[in-house]
Amino acid sequence: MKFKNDLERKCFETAERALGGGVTLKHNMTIQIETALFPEIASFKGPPSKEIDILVAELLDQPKVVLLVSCKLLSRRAEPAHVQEWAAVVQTMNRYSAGTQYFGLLVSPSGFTGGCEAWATSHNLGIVPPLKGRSVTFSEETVYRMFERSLVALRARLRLRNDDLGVAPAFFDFIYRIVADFEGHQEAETDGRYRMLPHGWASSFGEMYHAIAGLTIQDLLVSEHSTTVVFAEGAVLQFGAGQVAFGPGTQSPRQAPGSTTQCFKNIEMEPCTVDFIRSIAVGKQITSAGDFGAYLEVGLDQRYNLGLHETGFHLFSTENPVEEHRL
Amino acid sequence: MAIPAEQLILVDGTGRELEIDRLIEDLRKEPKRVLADDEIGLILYVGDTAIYSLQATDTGGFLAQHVTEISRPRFSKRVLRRQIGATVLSLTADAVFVIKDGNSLKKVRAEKLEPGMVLASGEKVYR
Repeated sequence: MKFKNDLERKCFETAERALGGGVTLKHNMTIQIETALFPEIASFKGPPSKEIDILVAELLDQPKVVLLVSCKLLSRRAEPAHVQEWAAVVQTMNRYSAGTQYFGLLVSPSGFTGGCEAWATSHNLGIVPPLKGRSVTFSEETVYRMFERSLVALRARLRLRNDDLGVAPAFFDFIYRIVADFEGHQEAETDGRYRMLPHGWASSFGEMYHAIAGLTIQDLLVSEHSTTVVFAEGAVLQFGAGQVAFGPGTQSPRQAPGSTTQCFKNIEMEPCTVDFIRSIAVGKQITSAGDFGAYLEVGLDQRYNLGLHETGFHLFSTENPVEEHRL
Repeated sequence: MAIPAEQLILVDGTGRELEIDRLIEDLRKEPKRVLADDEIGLILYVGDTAIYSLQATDTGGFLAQHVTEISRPRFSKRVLRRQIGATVLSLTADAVFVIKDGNSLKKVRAEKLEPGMVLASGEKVYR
């Protein structure tokens, strides 16, 4: 396979990875309509045809659905003329199709000018990256991820239902919904407070709590610069280096507390040992959570609050009166 | 996603409210429904089910709209409050609205909605 540029190569590789086959790249290809027996398209040069560089992805066999992808490697953002050109190609292919449904997608790592959106929506073309109504710049790698996500989601969607995306702007809107959330993802990656294991994906407090709520503590671990709660259900919650990691995980060997380990009990934060906190916390369920910046706190059985610091844990009773429930 | 997941009201065909977390956990067990489940979030296809989203109306009632996909981003988004017509809504900053602009229609992000703007549906933005 010969590629004209790096964009073509990456888009082709991305499409192959996403669809597992049925992807072809053609240069200077003359595309022709499937049915040419109409008087309105008779011309001195025969039926309509156009020489283009195109990435063709076959999405569905029955009925046949094909995605025509135009990869635009431009020094500036793509302009309405680029969208209009692709709209003409896809529209003509569909009008004179012998049963194949064609969808059109434009990929332009440098982005699109604002005027492209109306042309894309009215002609039902997908654009990657999306126009979001404010200046959002996506990295080239992010654009390839958007492309991959679009292909995977589109094929899955077409297998469930394929008769409702052909009417403008349904296909444009579908692709937009698939890639729109990359905007927030870039911000979350920059912030990076919450990470979901095992991939280290950017996450949020809400997702973290949803993942640990109701789990039962099996063990508490303290390492050099982090603390870990191990759950009986095969998950972990880690706090360290200003980050919260959670998700599937197994118990790592318990180490002897280091010289920097500091654990505390009660509201007054009286020093205690890890073993003391373990003796109360193990077997309890997570019932609440709060992020206090310098530490993370989780509620246990609605009776205790367990704090995760970078150097140890704290634990106190939440029952009243305080004096009668000291640990 | 226009409305934060915490604010989304989903009902079934009989009007019974659905608990979203449980619904998502049930639906994601059917792999064919999963359009995406990655570092960005989860998108489930529900177009073949009788699931409706309730939108508050000026008259104090709710308008049910058929839902085709449920999207759950993996990270939080900036949420803001806007009064549109008689209802006050919590919206993500990137929610898209269509407004009247002279004799044409224009898309606007929720964070750029300004008092006095009129939506294509005829509702006025108050704050």
